[in-house]
Amino acid sequence: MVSFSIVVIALISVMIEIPRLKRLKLKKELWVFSVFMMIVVSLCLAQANGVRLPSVLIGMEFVYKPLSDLIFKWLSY
Amino acid sequence: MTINNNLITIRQFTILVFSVTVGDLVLNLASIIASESRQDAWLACIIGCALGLLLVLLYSTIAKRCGSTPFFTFTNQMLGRWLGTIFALCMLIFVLITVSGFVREVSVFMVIYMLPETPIQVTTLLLLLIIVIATRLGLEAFTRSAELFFGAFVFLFILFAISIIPSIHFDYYEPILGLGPKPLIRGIMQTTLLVFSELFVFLKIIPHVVSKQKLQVNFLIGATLGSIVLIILTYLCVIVLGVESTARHIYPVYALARKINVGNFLQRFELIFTVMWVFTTFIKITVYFYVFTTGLARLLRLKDYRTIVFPNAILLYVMTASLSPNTVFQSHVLSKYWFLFNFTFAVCLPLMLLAAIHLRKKLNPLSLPNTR
Repeated sequence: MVSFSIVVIALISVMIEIPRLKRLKLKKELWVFSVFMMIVVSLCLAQANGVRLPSVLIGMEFVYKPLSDLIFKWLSY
Repeated sequence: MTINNNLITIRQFTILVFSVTVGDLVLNLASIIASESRQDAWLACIIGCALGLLLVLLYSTIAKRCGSTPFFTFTNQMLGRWLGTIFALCMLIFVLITVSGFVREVSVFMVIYMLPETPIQVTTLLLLLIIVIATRLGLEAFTRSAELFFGAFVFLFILFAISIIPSIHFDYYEPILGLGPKPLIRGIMQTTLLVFSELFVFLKIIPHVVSKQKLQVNFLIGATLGSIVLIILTYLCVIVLGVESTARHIYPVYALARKINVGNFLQRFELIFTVMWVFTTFIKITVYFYVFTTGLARLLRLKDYRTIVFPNAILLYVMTASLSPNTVFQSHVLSKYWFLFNFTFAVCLPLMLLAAIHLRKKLNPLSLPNTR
């Protein structure tokens, strides 16, 4: 169901965007749009089917934890 | 269709700055500051906002140098092609992570308080839909809608602030500075870095402003108006809910709005407050998303940024869904690490750019393309 709705949303956006780009004869834009669309839709489908994408906030914690601990230790009351 | 309606007047710019200052954080800033600096939360908020205006000065100084050149072209001129591209990429990463945080915040809030039986994916999708529409219509269109809503925001905010007055307990904010200066410093740090470094994105918007004579003043006015709203709300949270309660809520202002009961007649103000909050946050998200999309389009040298609006929206959806394992972890990161993230991306990067501008001016005064 979720995968289906992702495909539907992707198809709708393709149907809105591709005719416009064709009419304006923007060839490079058409390529960029198709490549981008393929990447994000596959990401989205992977996530909908249970692949755990890396969480940005966990990365943020990993990077900033030492500095943050230092600051809060210094400012503890 | 390729006409870019992307010029805004200085007044619209001020209102945009106001919306971005107020949006999103208005709901949970009070909780973060209250848990850091206890009774002195309001004091920390005032000093933090005053320091935050220094950041605004930093951004407007860079913007003055930039003039009407597109920002990423300007960074390329100043830092050279490679460093300029890296700078642009860093800015885009900052914008993408921040905007996915906002979208997550709105959809989680909606699911918790407004639409408990709706799946979170649906609220996110609905939000993304209007953001896509607004971004495709262009900067001018959504700036005008921000302008339209500004009056309503001010009116409702004054009504809100007046009708909360009966529930005030003035003894709640004593003792002042009872715990020494350290908690105050923590609160100041959080306020300045969380609220004002988010105005960094305006460096990308400022080249679209029509007349730039009073830019710095108007930038400061917008940020000041926004910080006045934040200060009043933090103060009200502390003296109405008390420190413990403010610090424990994720969304203290929502709890504050629920307290309003004027003569058993004026109640349920929290819905009106939610509308105000969702609207300013929508403007904020749209500004960020617009900056991200146009920035990426410029990096890829596209003629029309609308090409990548849809893919970016789906990317934003993926980012939002995988942002954090749960809400508790997100608010933990927001209060412990997010200000450092903002510091590296929105304070260090512009300082580096400013240093490069000054160095270049000193080495070769004639190389600056348009300084005014």
